[in-house]
Amino acid sequence: MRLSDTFKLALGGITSNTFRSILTALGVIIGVSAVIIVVSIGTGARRQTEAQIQRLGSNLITVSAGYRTSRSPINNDVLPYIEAISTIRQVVPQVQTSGTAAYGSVGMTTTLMGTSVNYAEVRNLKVARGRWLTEADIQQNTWNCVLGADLAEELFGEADPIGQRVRFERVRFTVVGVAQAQGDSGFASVDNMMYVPYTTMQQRVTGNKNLNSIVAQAVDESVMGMAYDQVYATLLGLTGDERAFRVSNQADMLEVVSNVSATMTMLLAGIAAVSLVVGGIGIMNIMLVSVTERIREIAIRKALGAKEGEILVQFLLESAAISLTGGLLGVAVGFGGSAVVSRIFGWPTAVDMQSVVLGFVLSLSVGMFFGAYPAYKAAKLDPIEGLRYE
Amino acid sequence: MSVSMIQLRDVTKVYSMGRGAVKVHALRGVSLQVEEGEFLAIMGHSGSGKSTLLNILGCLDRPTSGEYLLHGRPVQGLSSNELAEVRNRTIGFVFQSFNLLPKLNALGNVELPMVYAGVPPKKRREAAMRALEMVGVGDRAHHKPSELSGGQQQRVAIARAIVSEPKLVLADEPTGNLDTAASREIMDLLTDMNRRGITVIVVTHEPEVAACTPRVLTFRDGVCVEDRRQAAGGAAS
Repeated sequence: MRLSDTFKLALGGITSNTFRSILTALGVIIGVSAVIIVVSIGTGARRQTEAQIQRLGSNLITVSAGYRTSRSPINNDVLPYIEAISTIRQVVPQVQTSGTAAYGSVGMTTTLMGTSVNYAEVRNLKVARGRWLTEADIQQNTWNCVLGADLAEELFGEADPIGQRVRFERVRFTVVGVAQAQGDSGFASVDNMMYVPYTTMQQRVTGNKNLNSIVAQAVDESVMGMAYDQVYATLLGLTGDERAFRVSNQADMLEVVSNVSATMTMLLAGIAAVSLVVGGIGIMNIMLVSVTERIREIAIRKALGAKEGEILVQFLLESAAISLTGGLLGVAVGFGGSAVVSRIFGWPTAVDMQSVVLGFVLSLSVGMFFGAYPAYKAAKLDPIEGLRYE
Repeated sequence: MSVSMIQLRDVTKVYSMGRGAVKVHALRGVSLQVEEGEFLAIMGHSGSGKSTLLNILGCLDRPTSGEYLLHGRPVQGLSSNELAEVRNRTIGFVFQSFNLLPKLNALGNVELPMVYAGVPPKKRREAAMRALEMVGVGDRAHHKPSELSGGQQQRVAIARAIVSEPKLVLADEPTGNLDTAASREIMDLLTDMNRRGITVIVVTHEPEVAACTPRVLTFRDGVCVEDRRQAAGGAAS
């Protein structure tokens, strides 16, 4: 039998009963689209995390206190030592505390971030209105503050916040600027922060020279490894206690988050794949019915010289074609579904070629696997029996 | 020296029913010789074993014991794929209920044996068309079986049986579902095929049909009880 005839025969089998073929493929359609949607959500999340790494800068090293004491080893005195390291371009001190910011009768939970002028440069923070903190603010411990975009909108709405006085717990700051919206960073929103000089914060709010963390920017991404080692060695030399501080880099932390989300994606995709198995059983069911219905046809074909293998291939290709059609439709539904998820839930989704190929391979193998038994049954059919069958 | 078309030696067929508890002897030692170009009828009541014999002759079934030589070639040792090939190349079937595929038109049905023989589409289309014209339904080539009369369907079936130029045509009650006029046409057609050199064996229980053939075998209880030769050409009436 010629190959082209074999394919024509299998396609004829499904197009002769299109509606039933589509119903049969429904399980595969749902399974493949579910897998694609889930994977697209996972891929979208991963791409977003990667974009954050790019935005935050992959050349940042964060130093924080290992354990809390009244005199933390991470304080203002450490700053010049780290800044002196050859592979470090600049350092940013960070003191932070949570509390409620209020203007008039409106309040909002916020993080008060005491920092230096170069924070904006290192964090890629832009100012939308007014100005950023200046060196003078740091030197003179001024009561000036810059509001995150969300915080400003929450407290002031459409009104201009510049020059207004905002209360944080018991102290008052004068707003000199509003930062541009940054978007979710994955850990905490930077858009509802309130930025003040770290010197002011230490003197008037926390009352000591401790820092929560120091962000050190390496001169280049390529020296990250060396910079990390040097920062670590410097701190060890200063404190003499390796448990007193922690050194980490942003990229490593985001990688952990990325790995966790990849694991979750695989798990959910696995669950979605179960519906593919159910779809496969549906195909097997219909193919068994189809073999019984077509006993006479099979017997006639065999009487006219069809070999067992040719009957087997005919039915196997038929179920594979049904399943593959389901896979095709499933990919289409998956594309649409992931767009809908993105629109409704606001999650970033991305359908990549890999999951489309996965959908095809899965549906094809489901069709072959669950079509095997019915096809075998058809191939082994006794033609005499079938010719007698009414 | 020419070979016989069919040589059966002491062929038996036993069916086991109900987990082998009951054995049904469908054929009890049949020996038979049919020469190339013969035209014969096999008669008998239902249960006489004539259908079982036809299945064995058509390589659809294997004998329980005995020897079957088809055109000098022993058949009993062949695999199911080899048997399929023998059916495809050497034998044409005509059934009582026509057994055309309802979804294919007449042309498609006649093409079917050549599809399994691997004949290219253009060539088999031409051969199928010639066969349909030979049996007189060339103008019905693009009709589905449901759009044809019984006689026309059986003509299409005969075209399908002869399209691969087989040596042997086996007809199982070919006129069983037809009226007298159509029966006569079909028997004339089979006679015509026989004149073209094809060995034709007809299984029937109608004496009118058997009267058309020069040789009549009568079966009863799984054995051949009569092998009669007669003046050929007595048309069915």
